[in-house]
Amino acid sequence: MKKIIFLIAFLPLFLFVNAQNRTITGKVTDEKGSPLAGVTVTAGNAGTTTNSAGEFTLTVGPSVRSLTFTSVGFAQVSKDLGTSSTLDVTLTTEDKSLTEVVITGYTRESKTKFTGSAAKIDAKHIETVPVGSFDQALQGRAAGLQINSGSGQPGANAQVWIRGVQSVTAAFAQPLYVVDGVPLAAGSFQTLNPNDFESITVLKDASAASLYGSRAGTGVIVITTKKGKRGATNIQYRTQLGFTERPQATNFDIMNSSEILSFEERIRATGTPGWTYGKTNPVYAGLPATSPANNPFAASQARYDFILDSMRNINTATMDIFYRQGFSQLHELNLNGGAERTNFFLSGSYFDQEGTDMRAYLKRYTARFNIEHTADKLTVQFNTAGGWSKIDQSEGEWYGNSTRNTFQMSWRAKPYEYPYKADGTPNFGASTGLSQKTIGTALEGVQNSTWTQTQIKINSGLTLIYRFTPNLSFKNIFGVDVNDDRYQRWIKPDSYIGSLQTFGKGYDIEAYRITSQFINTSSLVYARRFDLHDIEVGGYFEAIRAYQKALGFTLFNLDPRLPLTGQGAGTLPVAAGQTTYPQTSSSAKSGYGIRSFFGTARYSYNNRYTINGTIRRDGTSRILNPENKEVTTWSLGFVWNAISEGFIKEQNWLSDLKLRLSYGSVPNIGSIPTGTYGTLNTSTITTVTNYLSPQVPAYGTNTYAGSTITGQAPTTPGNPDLKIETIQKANIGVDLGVWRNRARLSVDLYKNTTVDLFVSQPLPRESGFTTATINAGEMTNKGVEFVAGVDFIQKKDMGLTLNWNHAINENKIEDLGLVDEYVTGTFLIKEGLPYGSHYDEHYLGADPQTGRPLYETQDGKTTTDISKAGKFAKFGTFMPKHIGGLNLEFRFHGLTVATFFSYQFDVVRNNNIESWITRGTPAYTAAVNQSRRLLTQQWRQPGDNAYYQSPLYDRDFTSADLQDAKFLRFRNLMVAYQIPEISISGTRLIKSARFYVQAQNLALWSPWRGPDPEDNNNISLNEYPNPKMVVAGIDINF
Amino acid sequence: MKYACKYFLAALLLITMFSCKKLTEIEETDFIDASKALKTVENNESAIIGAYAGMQIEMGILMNGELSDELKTSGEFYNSITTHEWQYGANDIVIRDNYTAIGSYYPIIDRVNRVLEALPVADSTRIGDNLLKLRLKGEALFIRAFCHFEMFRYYAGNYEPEGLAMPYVVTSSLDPIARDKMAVFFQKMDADIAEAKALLPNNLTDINRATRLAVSGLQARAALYRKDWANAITYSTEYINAIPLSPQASFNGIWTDANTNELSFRLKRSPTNNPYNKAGSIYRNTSANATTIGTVFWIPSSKLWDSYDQVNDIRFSSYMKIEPLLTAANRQNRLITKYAGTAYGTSGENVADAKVFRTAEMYLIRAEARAEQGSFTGPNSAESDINDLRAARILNYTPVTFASKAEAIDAIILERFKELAFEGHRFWDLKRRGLPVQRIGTDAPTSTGATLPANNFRFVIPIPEIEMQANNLMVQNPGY
Repeated sequence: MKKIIFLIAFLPLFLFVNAQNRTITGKVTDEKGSPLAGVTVTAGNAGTTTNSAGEFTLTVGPSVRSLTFTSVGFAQVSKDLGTSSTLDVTLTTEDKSLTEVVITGYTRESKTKFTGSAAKIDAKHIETVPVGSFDQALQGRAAGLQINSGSGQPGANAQVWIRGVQSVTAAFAQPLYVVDGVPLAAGSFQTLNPNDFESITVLKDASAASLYGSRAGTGVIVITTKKGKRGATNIQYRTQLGFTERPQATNFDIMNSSEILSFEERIRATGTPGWTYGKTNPVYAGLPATSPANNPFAASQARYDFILDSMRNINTATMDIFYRQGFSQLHELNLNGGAERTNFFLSGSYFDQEGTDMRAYLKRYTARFNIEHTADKLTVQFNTAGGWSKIDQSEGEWYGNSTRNTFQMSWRAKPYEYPYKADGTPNFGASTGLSQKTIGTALEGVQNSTWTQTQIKINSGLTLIYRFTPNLSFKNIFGVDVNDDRYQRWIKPDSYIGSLQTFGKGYDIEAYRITSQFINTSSLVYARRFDLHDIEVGGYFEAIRAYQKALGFTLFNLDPRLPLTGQGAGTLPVAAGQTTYPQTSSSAKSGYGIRSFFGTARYSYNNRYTINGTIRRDGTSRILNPENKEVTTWSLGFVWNAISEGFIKEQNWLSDLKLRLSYGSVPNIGSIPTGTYGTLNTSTITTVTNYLSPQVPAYGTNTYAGSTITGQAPTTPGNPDLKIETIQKANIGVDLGVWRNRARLSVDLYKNTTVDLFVSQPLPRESGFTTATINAGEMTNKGVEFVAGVDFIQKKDMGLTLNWNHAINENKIEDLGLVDEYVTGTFLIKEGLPYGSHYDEHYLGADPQTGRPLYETQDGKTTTDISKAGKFAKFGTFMPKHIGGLNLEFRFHGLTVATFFSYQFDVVRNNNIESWITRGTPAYTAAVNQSRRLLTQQWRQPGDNAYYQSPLYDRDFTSADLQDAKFLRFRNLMVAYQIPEISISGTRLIKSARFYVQAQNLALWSPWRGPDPEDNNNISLNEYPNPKMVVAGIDINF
Repeated sequence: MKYACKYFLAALLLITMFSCKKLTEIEETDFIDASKALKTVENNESAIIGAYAGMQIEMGILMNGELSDELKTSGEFYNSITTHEWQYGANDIVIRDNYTAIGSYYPIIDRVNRVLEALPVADSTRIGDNLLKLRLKGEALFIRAFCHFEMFRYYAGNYEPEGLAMPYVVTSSLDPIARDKMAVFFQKMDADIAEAKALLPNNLTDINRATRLAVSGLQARAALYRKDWANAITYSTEYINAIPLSPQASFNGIWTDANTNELSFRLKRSPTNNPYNKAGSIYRNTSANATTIGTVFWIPSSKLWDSYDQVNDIRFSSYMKIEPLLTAANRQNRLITKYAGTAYGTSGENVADAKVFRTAEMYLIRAEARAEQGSFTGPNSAESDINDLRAARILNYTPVTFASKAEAIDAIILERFKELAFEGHRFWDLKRRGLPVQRIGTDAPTSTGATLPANNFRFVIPIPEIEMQANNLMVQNPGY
């Protein structure tokens, strides 16, 4: 019933009157006299658009005195109608600031009427950047958009935050991605060709994003793809070749063989060669001087000296073993063109990149076809991208914290291990302190296993637009986004690593997952201009349905003759007395739906004042409680385009001045806790989301000795009162341009308040449970964003432009309901502190008298007993307070040089590797190579004022491991040369071409110790560092 | 054509709008949630077993020992100052010693409440399910009453109708809930018991689960705490008539789990099956091998040790002993053997079933009730009950006569101390009778740990701080 009322509400929009009439024809041209197609011609209620020849025919009523011509990119013109029935018009290009539009996905707004806060990232910044996942290229490109890469794996996505962390449970929730109106599954971009993108717009505040409703809580990234241009078909071929390289930063200053052997001896590390064979070991003095001739390997002083001398000279370059220079290539062919009614864009690409890890790679094929056809009042668009990709992931990321993690071993391994046998194959096997085989074993593991993900991706949208009148149009988008993923983890049966697996002959885990999302959006938009008044009203209905399905299995006892397959797997032994038969395969499925109604209304007066409001109601299956299923999003925005005011128009230095205000309330569907179906044998390689499990009591089994029946009991309380987290977003923005916008400045101030924040709360014990995550908290993010640009030189043949953006975000947990604080992982959630505040004992250095570790106690004193040390949350947070990017672009004739820097500061992360290599205790020294700093900064005798404690004591994980992770990255260097048309004896070979050399992550400045200060979480634990990439390419237009 | 197009689009719009109602109702189909977990009678039986699996009276056994004069530190390991020397408050009762009856019994109540909610609509899928359904309901109600009464013993003062008991929870909810007054609490409990009694099996075929006689036992015990002497006599008599006292020869077998004499309900324990399986570990750690006995934490207090006729009283030899292996190892040599399980160093060491109701307790309940009613001597009096019980426990027993009610009561409390030692009653008995805890001589760990004065506020256990935070309707016990 509600829906019918909704429809009726919009019915009056259909009601317009056709009065007595006359017919006007004419032609619209641009300043050069070329016909302009698609220009909207209106007169009161009547209107039409020009055809490809720029011609129009319009029947108007007798009272109509003038016609209005509007077209994006051109100044609006009103022409009086004389008595003539023909009217030719020339449109002039509009001022840059006026022509800029903001694409919010559902709407396109002229920038002067846009009340929200959005940042547009030019497609050229991601085009041809040699990263497998386009989000990796966005770092520093837009104010308030924090992009942190957690892995250097080709194709791995980045962690994206817009205006900070806005939730505790959903701290890592990703923004909503939308491509041409169709949502794109977040975190899976490896099968997309970013060269197809036309623009990327980041919607930050309520006014910009609220039309997306509950999916927009953490912001929206709207992508449009390229369209065909009318005119001659352009054929472009792109190719790009280059390489990836490991980062150079090696400031871990780990010891060389000679140093670590001496250190082992000095601190008497049991089981290490340095101590075992060292001269200061009491055993040494008791040995014979030389070994007998008939037993040359027998222990003797000479033999021990010989062993140590050999080891001192080994110095294995571990990093060179585990990293490689990877080859990267891209080939792409695209066509675009169009005729009167139809235009198209077609592209096909091949991208192949080897990672810096010895096994990692991404290979992908993509195709895109965008076609648009206009038949009278109906426009049909069909945009489809399809692709196939395959990733082999690093062995290091499979293991995490393990001696098989090559990223860890590249620092950790003792340099005196020689990892090869005489025949050059890895020297693997059980490793001991005296006979280290960790590098060889890790290497053998990498060589004899795979971890692949093969993805088929389709993102497709069919759009129908029907213009009932020039003022009223109906639009329907039906979209589908499908990721079809096949995962395989295979270990070679006849390898050493294979022999260590259950049943001793490798294994083959395979899993298949399909995630799909369907969306249908229908809308009716009425837009009209009456003299100085401009209104737009839209009503929308949207349905979203998402599905997940996965299945997988594990096979053991593989056939050594067959690679990468479970075929030929043998039988498995049955254990003695086995009464149940274990499953090694499983499957699960899930899904959800969202049904939404929404409306938007905008009113502008004389292009000076615009007020904009949106309201949206989402009903979703993701909230179980019927009372909370319906979620409302709304926003109000206002913009004062002051530059249009008469009194400002008088001067000529100011070219843009706008004041934007917005406020709204945006729920965050990503905040609703979800579970996963955990019984998948293959859950290590893929998961299926359980959208409802945290909301309902789940049952687990238990046993009672008094019964043969298996017992069951609820294991989680569920949350029957669950609501969605809502973010109240306020934004004030000012846009300023001077000297014909040669210098530009935008400043945005915002405050986002997350209410009904999910926090861990104690439950009344009468409920049968102890804690639950319920809506009881509040969090704020306050910040300011600056975007500044200056065109120092703006000439036809030369240009120099600087663009800089900087964002400051301050996060604060305001309220935690019934509790004041609780610890989660290594950080403390506490009222008054920002999210992610590290929580650790405060290490103060070595006690000068005893060498024991000194810590601060809760009452400000010092102690050498860690159990008496206080834990503090004063060390900062892993979320940077300041982020930004700086782009300097120089153009001279056909040559362009663009440099881009990105940075983050006021950020502290936990450096786990640093902790291990500076512990300096015999146990750590036996297992992990140590830092050179221990040679000079470790306590050795009373009176030493040393930072690192005596090797006799361990200081544990403390504030000593927290490090400033600020960085400045030379993110991108682009040198391009535009080659003009090449013709040979009148035959045009190419229209134009562009040759470029591009380097990504060229340099890095950071106090952080380790390969990469940047990560997607709070702790650095053996991650795959971001690579440096250098490519050269050419784009040729035929 | 134009119109067709318009209509087509309008139709499309309408169809999509009306077909989308179900978008908000998509369920997780692959997941055992509460609605699926208890779908059939069979599932509900599984949930009842899940409730039994959570029940542990062993915590009460430990607590009554530590807080009262039953136990004495062995000198080998002692970290229970907070409890043994009565220094607990609302904050550390949880953190330090984990005495959270509230945290252990309410989850069980929640389990049975869910069964009681699901059972009426549960599908009978097997022959006999309809009958089983009735039994399950009886079990759920019994467990609910039993668990609530256990918490009454921890958190409530002596019975007075207007006094505060704990919340009697009958529905599954996460919301704060207020404490019931004792009169209301027992009214709800009585209703549960009465209904349960009619539904439970009137036999002792499976005493690992609730029986009708277990209900009688609970009714008698609850009546005693409420000073409802008439009902205490009625229900204990019901029990005594059905299950006689164990013959002397097989008394020890009760504690080695060789027989089930006197029992109407026990919580079955096995070496592997249950987290609370090792009642014996309350007093000493399991042993590394047959000769190296694990660390001894607690030994019988001298007060208890000396109270027995060590030659003739078979309870002494069943409950405690002098261990020559400890003597040989130069360790203190007294041991509590009531829950010793199988031999040292074997998997069954310290494993013993938890005996929830036994006939001896019923005799002592009836004796106390009869004495309170003035019937302290003669046939069918406190005197006859005590004599019957002692005759079953003491070789060559000579019956006693009581000259007064007070003499009878003193003898009964002493007999409870001896008969029900290490069964989780002593501290509550002292509280119930308004008596102090008095540790004599070396039984006291320190001079301040010798006496807990009668009616001290610490006889009532504090509500844990975390519960006070989470439940704004909760009222803390006086003194904390």
